Amino acid sequence: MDELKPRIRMPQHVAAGEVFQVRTILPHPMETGYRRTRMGEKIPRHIVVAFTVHYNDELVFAADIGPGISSNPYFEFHVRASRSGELVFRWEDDRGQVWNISQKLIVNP
Amino acid sequence: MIQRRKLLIAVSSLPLLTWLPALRASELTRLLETQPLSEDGITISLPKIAETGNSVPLSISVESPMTSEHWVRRLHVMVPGNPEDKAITFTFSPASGRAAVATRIKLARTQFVRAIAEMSDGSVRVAGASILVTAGACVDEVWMN
Repeated sequence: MDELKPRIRMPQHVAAGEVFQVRTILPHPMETGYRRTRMGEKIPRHIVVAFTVHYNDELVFAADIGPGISSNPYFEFHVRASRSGELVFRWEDDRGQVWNISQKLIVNP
Repeated sequence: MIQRRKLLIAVSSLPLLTWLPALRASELTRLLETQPLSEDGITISLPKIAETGNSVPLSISVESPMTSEHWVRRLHVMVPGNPEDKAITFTFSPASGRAAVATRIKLARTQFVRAIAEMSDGSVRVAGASILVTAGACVDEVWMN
């Protein structure tokens, strides 16, 4: 099913040198580990810890994430367009689960 | 330039600083003690009031041409009123083009959120904003079977 896939919003075509905005969201509970059930049991932590963005294999943006980020972590950031290619987005959580998604970028010279 | 001493006193009173995984107390203190500090060229945008601390929109912008001569290396978001006082660290490259980010943070209670940017020349910029949180995150009971 698609509901557990990350979603990316960014332009597909940009001009060379243009700085464009990227928005990303990943469905994830981001359980802090500080909450308890009604019975007093601790709810275990389950959070995304790392997010990286590679543009044609070069790291362009990264986030080192703690429990202070809301569930379904959302990020807005920017990238300067140079050559056509691909942006690869990767998330990793504290249970070793990894999500990878890529988006093609066409840069008009 | 701000009064470094005032900021150091404020920062040194941050609780639980010693067990931050990525930016340890010594690193943060060293950063703020040894580098020139400025409040200019960095803005933080945070609502003044949040009904719920579960998802508070935050945006930060650091002025920089983002070239290999001058760019923003890292940006830390400190939430001293939370159980863990660092929310996130963003890492940029000159290819970021602009050091402007937005995200949503969890706040356990009313507090002063701070953004600390490390520039490529070693200088540090700080910005902060107060927010009143009506119902903190992590304090509501969870109904689970």
